[in-house]
Amino acid sequence: MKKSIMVLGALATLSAAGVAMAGGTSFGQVSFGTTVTSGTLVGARNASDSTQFIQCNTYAYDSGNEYGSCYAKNSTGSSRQCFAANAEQLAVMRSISSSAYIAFTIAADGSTCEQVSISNGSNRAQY
Amino acid sequence: MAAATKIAVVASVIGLAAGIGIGVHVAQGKGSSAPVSVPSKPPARAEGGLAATQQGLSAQDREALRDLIRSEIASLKVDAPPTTQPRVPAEQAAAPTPDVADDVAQLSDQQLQTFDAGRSLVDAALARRTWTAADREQLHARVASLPPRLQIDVARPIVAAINRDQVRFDGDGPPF
Repeated sequence: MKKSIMVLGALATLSAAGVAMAGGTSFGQVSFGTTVTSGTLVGARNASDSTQFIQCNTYAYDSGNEYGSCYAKNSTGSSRQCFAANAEQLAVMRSISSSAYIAFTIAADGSTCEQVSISNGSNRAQY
Repeated sequence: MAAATKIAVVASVIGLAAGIGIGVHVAQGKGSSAPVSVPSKPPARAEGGLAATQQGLSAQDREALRDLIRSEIASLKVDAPPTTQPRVPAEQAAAPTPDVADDVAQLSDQQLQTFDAGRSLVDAALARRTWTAADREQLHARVASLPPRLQIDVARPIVAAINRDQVRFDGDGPPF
């Protein structure tokens, strides 16, 4: 494959870089449960720290290959990331909006997305 | 290539093949009690020995070498623990999928070296238990010529270690 692989559609990225905003509530902030990593874009963006982050990306190559990943960082700076090549999971990742709640679980291999869930709703848009 | 250089290369290849052959013979001997890791599919042409030609390696020799490298990569992907890292439980280890193995089999010599270089970077990070944005960028650069699935496969061990809190990721954005 040529070095100049063209990313044709890295277009599903909606990230929520942590922008410190005092007074935000804890609703929707990035959380690492026993199995589920979750958070809202708004919650991460409005967190009182500047660390939280949650996003999903999808990539499409001129070879026809596609893959995606979801990534989150919590308030302590720990990270979780998983990869997906499953078409249905990629479609879910592409459905993210600015009012999205993202949840994903990681398979036993430690790096494959087992389940990806995106919920877009008015209650996710702001506090 | 100078004649002396050709001879040296051919001699090295023959020596390597002989060494592997002796090693396998000794390891499989009756008196051996050491566990031997045998690839599930041994190289098809390695047992035939390597024949040199006036032009350097024959196509058959080249393919035999490639099979050996693939076998080594496949075994490393399953067996190699991080050098100073607590070993991931076997049930959690990421075994290469058949699809990935097929992709590896299609790689050129140059791409195999690229794959190996990427894994070396990852292994070093696993050993020191840190991964940075600079590491991520370096890995992206190293594996850019690989098929996307193999790019991810190279990165999986470090991402899995980060997910298990065995390695700390210092940087903005995703680990890979």
